Amino acid sequence: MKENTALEQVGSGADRLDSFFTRRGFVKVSGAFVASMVALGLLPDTAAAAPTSSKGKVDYYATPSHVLKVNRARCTGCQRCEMSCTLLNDGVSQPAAARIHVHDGYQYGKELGSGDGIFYSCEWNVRACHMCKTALCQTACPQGAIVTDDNGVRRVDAEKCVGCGTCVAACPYHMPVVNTVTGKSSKCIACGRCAEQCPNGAIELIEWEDVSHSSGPTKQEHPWPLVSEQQDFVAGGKIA
Amino acid sequence: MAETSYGWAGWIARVNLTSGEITEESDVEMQKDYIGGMGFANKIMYDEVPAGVKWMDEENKAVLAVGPLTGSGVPLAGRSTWSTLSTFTKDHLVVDCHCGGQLGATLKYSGHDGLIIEGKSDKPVYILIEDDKISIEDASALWGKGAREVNEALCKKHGLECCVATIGPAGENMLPYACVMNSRSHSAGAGLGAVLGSKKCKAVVVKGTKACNVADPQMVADLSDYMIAQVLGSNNNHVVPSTQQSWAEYYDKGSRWTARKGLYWAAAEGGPIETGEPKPFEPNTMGYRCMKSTKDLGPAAEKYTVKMAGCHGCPVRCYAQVKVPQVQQATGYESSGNTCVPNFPFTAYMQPMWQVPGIQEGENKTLTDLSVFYNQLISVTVDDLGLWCNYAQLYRDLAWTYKEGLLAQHCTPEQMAEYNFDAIFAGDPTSFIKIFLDIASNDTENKPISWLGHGPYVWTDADHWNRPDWFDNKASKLINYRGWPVHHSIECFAQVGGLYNMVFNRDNMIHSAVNLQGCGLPIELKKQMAAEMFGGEDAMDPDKNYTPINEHKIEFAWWSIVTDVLHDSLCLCNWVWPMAMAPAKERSYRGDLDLEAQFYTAVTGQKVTIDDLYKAAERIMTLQRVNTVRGMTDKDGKMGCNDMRNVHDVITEWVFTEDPDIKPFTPGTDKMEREDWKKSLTMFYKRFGWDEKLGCPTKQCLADLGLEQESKDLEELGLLVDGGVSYDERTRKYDGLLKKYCGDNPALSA
Repeated sequence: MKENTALEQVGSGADRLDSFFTRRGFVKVSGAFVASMVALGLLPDTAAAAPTSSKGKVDYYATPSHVLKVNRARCTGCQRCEMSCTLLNDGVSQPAAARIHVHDGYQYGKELGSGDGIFYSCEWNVRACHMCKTALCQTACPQGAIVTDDNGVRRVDAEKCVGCGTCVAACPYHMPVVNTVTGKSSKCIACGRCAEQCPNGAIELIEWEDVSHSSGPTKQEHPWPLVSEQQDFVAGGKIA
Repeated sequence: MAETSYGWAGWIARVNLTSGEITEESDVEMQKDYIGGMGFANKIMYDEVPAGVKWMDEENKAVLAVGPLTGSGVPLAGRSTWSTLSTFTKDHLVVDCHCGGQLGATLKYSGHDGLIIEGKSDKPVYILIEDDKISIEDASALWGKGAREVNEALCKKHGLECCVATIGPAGENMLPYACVMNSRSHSAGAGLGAVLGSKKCKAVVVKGTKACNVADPQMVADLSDYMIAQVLGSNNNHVVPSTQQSWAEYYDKGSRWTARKGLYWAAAEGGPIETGEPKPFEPNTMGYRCMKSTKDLGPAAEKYTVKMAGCHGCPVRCYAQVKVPQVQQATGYESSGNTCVPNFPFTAYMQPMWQVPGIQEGENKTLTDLSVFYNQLISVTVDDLGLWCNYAQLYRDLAWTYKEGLLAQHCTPEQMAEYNFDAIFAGDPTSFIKIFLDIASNDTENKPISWLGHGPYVWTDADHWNRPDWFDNKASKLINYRGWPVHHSIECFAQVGGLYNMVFNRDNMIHSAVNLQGCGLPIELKKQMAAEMFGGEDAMDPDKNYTPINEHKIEFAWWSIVTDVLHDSLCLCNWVWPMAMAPAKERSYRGDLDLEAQFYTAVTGQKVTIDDLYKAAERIMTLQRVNTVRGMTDKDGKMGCNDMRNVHDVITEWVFTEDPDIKPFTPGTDKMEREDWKKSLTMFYKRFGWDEKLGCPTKQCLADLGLEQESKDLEELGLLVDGGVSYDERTRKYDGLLKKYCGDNPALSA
């Protein structure tokens, strides 16, 4: 496994481009370098849009090999994915620390009023890591504790992680979680265990693709009115 | 730092609502002997709630407990058990109130194996558990609210991931038939809601972020994969599909493996999802096997079906999730669905007596679209009221008392007009809302219909509606004069079902036997399996064609009880466990009876055999039996009575008198024969080491099970009897019994 600290590849030229564009390689480069690569058409626009890190550097990484694709219509809310994830990756069963999230939206969806959850639409979100090409969890980490492995997957180095939660805040989907027991962050490593045992095939481990716009609705367009705001619905009937 | 606790969180919270004191105590001492769940809860009830306490007394407690497997990743480990005093059966003795949903797992993740609620608050409160932080909060704003609104309000306040277990108006009003709801439609019954109502405890809110530590996580995963791939069937562990399918050697139309080509979750987001033909060795289609909406509600429900769901950690997914526009219009609630009685309260229990036009159609009496409206309207209403049904007794009682004219006799004409039975018979069920609201009111003086919510032990007696004949009417399905109905009784292997219906202080909720009955395999094969498991093919009879009692049937009855008690203690779902049979032809359809022990060992790190666990379950059953002896009144009303045979285990008369033209032991009836039944009880008591005449625990069996204190207690009360067959003499070994079929079991090759 390689760490997210090496700077020797910055500006290192064409001999590095192979690994740069393979799914297994990574580099850490300056913002100016990335901008010029984008301008040359060698990198996608998203790379240039990446924020700078506290050291004035931009991390740009080649795509991870795999990503989880979810279909929430198939999810039946058993939450075995969360338990399976932590059994494999943490050696315990701890849904609150899982790298995939179902239980927090099971009752009411992404937020109260979303119209989702078992009390309303019977849909809820299966939140899984998008495996962003430019991983904000990683670029934001002040400890350099999120490292990239040979598959282009970012994983948390528990030795370095101080549990500050910056990664959670930086992730547009708030996917990493800081484990309340260990005080360390965790994030998806695309091991696929959740998908392997999903009883409804609602999760698939696929070759990487951009899943950020492909996962379907995340709430209802016309949510049902909230029970707690409709005081005439007492005990199963419109009792005014 | 304390040693890591595997499986068990290791702590039980105690909340005293009188003093406001909140403490936590270790449960390490109880773990080996009482496992968890029902075992913990019964031990605490025995030790802390003396005989003679009334259910609404401050001294009564409500004990919630989970087991070592809860939330551990073991399949179907999402249930939990409460124990308290019965509100509706004679003498108000100890009962267990099980529930699924999210409560059990969430409690475990908060770092607790249990919660003891004791004392009484003088104002409405709820208990908030956020990991180690436990507090008593003001619930005055929630009092009077339905379960859905309370769930929403408390999630809004404490986080959407909270599990809320709440009482509804029925519990607040201390109606004996009140339950505790969690996760919309999961209910803990047996009057628990009334007990919490008496304590002014509106809800328990749990948020858990901790881990369930597991000694051998890889083995838990491997055993789970093995079980799901080839051992586990569908709901009730039905192991063949309900229709002919190319992959399946057998099919059975009664099976709950109801997926088939052309059957859809038709209201799924993004378009219909076909249930298809899920097969064994396909872990990713397991969740489609049980299409419960159309199974329970008829073909019209397909278009309303969004998906299935169910309890935490279970891949079977037996809970229908439907959105029925008529129900939404009438109640304001968008979604509904259940897996048990509240999924089909009208069509299964009232329609047979009422025959309302438009509910069924055609030669096959297929359920109509209108019937879906009737069932789900009642479902959302009773769940919101936190109104329990005593395993459908409320619905049978309501249907019968209306038909018999008892309601018209005891309610005012104005009330009868509001209940509007004419409309119900004409296709409009909406007045059921008023009917159940009035029952939940517990205002017996002004709304006599609420007597139905006190149970038949009360409303049929001479001081109320004076119809004790209802107990002897087969249509009542009442199986014991102390006030509970059948829960898979004599129709399920005759004496076997009859026996296990007697042992608790409520309906039994045992599924170990009925799952074998309904699994869909041919009787010849099941008889071979019975020979392997219980010692003889004659343990099992074909339906309505049964033989006199024999020792193998007794073994089957004993096993049905200990497996159920074991599952309620571990906690696993006995609606599907034990794994007595399997869908895979490759293993000759044999199950794997060692899985509970292997999971226990993998999770806790403590090596046990299934025989060790069965013994612990026998201990828990016997402990509850001692508690019953201690508190039961005799024929003269004196407390403390060990004549279980003649006072407690009394089966209702109709089992001997049904089918008057057919003799017992002949095809076409499950009618019981009196002498055979007496003999069955004798042999059954002997199998448990109990007194063969009285049916109470003996000195010998209490010593064998290490229940020394209980033995002393009974002796002091003059209720201890000598005798009883010793444990080794009466006990059959189950360890490794089906091993030769279990070559793929990872624990065997480890």
